[in-house]
Amino acid sequence: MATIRLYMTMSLDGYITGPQDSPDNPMGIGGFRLFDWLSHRHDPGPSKQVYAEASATRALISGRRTYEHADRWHGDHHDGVPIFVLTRHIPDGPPPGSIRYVSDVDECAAQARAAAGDGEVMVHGAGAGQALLRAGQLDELELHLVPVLLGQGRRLFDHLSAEPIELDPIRRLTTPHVTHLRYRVRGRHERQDQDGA
Amino acid sequence: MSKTVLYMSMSVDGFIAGPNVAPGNGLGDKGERLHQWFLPDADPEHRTGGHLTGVNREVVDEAMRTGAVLVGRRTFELAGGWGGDHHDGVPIFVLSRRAPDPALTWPGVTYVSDITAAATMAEDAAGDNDVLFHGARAARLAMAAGVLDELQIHLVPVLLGQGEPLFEDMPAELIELELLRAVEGPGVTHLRYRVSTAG
Repeated sequence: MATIRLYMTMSLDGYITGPQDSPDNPMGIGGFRLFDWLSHRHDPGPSKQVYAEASATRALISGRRTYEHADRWHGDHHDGVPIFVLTRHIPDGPPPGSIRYVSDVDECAAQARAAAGDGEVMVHGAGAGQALLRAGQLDELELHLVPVLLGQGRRLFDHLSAEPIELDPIRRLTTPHVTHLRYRVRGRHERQDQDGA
Repeated sequence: MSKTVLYMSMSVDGFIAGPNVAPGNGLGDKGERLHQWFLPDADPEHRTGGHLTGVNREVVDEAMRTGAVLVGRRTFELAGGWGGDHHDGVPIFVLSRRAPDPALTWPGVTYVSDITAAATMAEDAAGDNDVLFHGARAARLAMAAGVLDELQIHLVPVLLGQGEPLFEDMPAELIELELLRAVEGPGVTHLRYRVSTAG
């Protein structure tokens, strides 16, 4: 079954955007600093590897905010892979390109897994990440931890319950610009079994 | 020269304590999870790390070689002042604008109201060794005053979901860091950063 993995770039103090993010300023004040590591994505090294892995995912799940802030990727995130936008309110009009709107998180995960086949599913956006985490559908996190303090902004997760979720470290790739940390969410299948019982 | 180093255990989602921090619940709800890597039994007597081995032992040993402790009043009180001795009787400087609590005064403990003065006193007291900094709220002041030299983050593989962020109410100004070291121990990744003083 396809792995569903959240890809997020985060400051050391836990922010994924600066303050006052909006469609006009999607990364908030100062938030584009987080993406500086992407200018090294073609240099030989860990960031190239991680970027290549992300680009090889065969389906994308996105939250609605991220989708809109990214200008709907003009219908194509990479290589025309299917994009599943998790949203409570299905927008009017046909979605562009390879995009499909899904309002149920389990349905969204199932469709994305089916589309990815034996490949992997990339998740973009904190909202989608949290929804999948709460539903027990998130398998892994790939965090790009940037050596900067933003001080304020939107946090990686801000709507989780206060019940700790254990992670198992899988991989750490370190560069001067970013530390790529991969974790497996522990107990996902156990939680699903309980929900299904 | 002596450096002032913030030591902090933090969850992957950026929390250094759970919600509802209060006396008797110093790490907040479920926050003790963050200290499991060095306090598996939650016994404060083990905070000096003598029971540890390998990388975790080395990192805690570094902290215990510091020559002075600089701590915010809140953290100091939540820890009961460590009975007046954090490790090896090194001088402790408590950042506080209020008069000391008589129950929390010891010969080696000095209350200082100004962060810059406190950092200078701690660094002088530490001599050639570093200063161990504790306390997130005080760290925010230290960061703003430019007296925090390094961050030693113990990144714990857990999502707490809620709690106290590493730095709260910081100004929205970028502070650049330089990764000095990254090492793994059982149940924790130790990330050491230098705070950039450029600008």
